[in-house]
Parts: sequence; structure tokens; C-alpha cells
Amino acid sequence: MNRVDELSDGPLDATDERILRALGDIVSASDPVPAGLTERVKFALTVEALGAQVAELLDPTPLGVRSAYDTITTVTFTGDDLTVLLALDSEHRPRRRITGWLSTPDVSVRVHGPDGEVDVQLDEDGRFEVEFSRTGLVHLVIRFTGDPHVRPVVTPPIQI
Amino acid sequence: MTTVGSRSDGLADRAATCFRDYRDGDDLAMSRLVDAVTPVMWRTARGAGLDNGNAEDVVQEVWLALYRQADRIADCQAVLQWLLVSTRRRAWAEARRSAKVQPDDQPADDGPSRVAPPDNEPEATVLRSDSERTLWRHFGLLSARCQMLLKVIATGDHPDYAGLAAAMGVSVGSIGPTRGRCLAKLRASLEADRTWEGVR
Repeated sequence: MNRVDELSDGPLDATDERILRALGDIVSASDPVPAGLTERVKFALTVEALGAQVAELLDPTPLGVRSAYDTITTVTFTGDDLTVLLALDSEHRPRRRITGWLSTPDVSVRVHGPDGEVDVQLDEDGRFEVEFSRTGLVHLVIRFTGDPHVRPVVTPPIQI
Repeated sequence: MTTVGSRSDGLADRAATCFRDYRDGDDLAMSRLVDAVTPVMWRTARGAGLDNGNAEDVVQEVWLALYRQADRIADCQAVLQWLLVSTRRRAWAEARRSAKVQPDDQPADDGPSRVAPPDNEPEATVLRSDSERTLWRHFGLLSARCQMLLKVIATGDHPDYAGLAAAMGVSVGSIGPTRGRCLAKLRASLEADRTWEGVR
């Protein structure tokens, strides 16, 4: 295998580049990186960083009875001391608006969405609104302002 | 045209900058680091023969490990290498645990692949030309280690051949990146094939 030894120590040339590019195209097409992988990694890091509890999806359920083309417009999550209802308004596409209600107003809410992170203002009923310029994954980080010892709550990411 | 093997602004440097910013208190820098390196880590995990679900679990575990040990990584410049070596080790451990594949992580082992191929090998629709089919056939004759290495390098930033190769434990010549044995074997194998006319 003298040819291999000779080639091994040689510098990369244009032929190598073409081979690597063709190989890269085949691998990317046949085995693409899963959509949403980086978002799921970031979500796991957020939960870890906050020592947070992940809220459970209460509603809609069960998903099986819905037609594949149904657009879900409201979703409910629950944590140990908290319930969150989110309603999605996508009538002004591509803009999206979420209206949220929390079971207690004594929390701070940071929304992680396709435009980045934003701290939202709650009114006295625990209601807030937030707009996004495009589709993407959204999750909420909710901290209890009254009692810093209660673990923050993070909602699982939803596609809007 | 990009300079082949140029290390300037390669993935290793970008990763190091993000990690340094993160340690200096920039919370969003971790997010940029995840965007930059996750695809390469996922490829590395898949290269060990893991299915999609297990590969994703390994990638998440490595990120959590980095988060927990961020203060203990002495050299920010080495963060890409830390991530890729950790991914490779965990992926092989997971592959051994599921006992479906034999470890083939020894540089001296030049035999053909003993790792079960990923379940979604390219279909006819992906291999669009005779040259691609020929290339893929010769690629399949390489050792599992070489296949994994070349898959990661080929799907990464091409100018970053040197950075990626170094991060994956392949020596890079002092005068610049050399082909290394894996690419040399593939190329020699293709050259010896009379039906091979090259790719454009």
C-alpha cells in the first residue's frame, strides 16, 4: 500500500475537496441532523441551569382523537404549584401572538421564542401577551417572586 | 475559493470564543456554542452505530456534562476537542452496552467495518449518479473508525479539516493538514477503480 503512504503525507488538494464535498452531500441527505435537536439541547440546559421542574402537559389530551390537520390553539401545563394556559393566535401570519394566563400573578415569566428571550409583564389577573415575528419553538421559564425557595417551572417547548 | 485546511475562524476557534464568552458571564454564548457544535457531535454519535434516539441522548448528556464541569476545563481553546472526545467515548460505551456492535476505536485496526451500518443507508434517490454510487461503495470498504472520521469531516466546515481532525485525535502535519490515512485510503481505492472518473 505504498500509494496510501504517499497520499497520507501529501497536502489536501482540489480533488480531495471534491471527494469530501460529494461525501458530505450523501451523508447529509441520507442521515440529516434531526430537526429541533439544538433546541432540545438548549431546553435541557435551561432546566439543568435552573434546577427547575418541567411542567406537565395537561391539555390537549388525548392527542390520538385529533385529526392530523387540526391546529391546536390552546394548551395547558401544570407544575407543583402552578397552572399555565397558553392560547395561540396565528391569524396575522407570519406573526404569532400568544396570550397566557397563570394561576398566580406572583411570578416572573421569561418567554424563550424564535425572536430570542423576553421578560413579559403580568397583569393583576396573571395574564400576559407576547408576539413573535415567525414560527419556532417556545418555552416559558416561570420563577416564583414571593418565595425564592420554590423551584422555577419550565414548560416543555411547543411549536407555534 | 476557501483555503483548504485553513484554521482561521474554523469551528475550533468559534467554539473556543463562545465558551470563553460564556465563562466570562455571557449567558447567550452557551446557546451559540450549542448551535455551532451539536451537528458535529450528533454525527460523531451516529458514527458509533447508535440509532437516532440514542445518539440524541448521548449528545444531550455531553452538553449537560460540559455545563456541570465548565469551571474545570482548563483550556477554553480545547472545548471542541473536549466535546467531540466525550461524545465519541460515551457513544462507544452506549454502543457496547447495547451489545449490537463491537468497539472499533483502535487506530491500528485497518480492517473493514465491523460496526452495523446506520439503519438509514443512502437509498437510490440519494445516490444520484454513478460517481456517487462508486464513491459510496469504496467508502463502505473503509474501517468503521475511518468512516466515522470522514463523515464528520465531510459534513463539517471544509476549511476546518485541520481543526476537526485534531479534535478527533488525528495528527495534523506541521506544515498544514495532510490527508491522513483515512482519506488517503479512500482516494487510493478510488484511483484503483477504473470506473471512477471523479466527482465535480
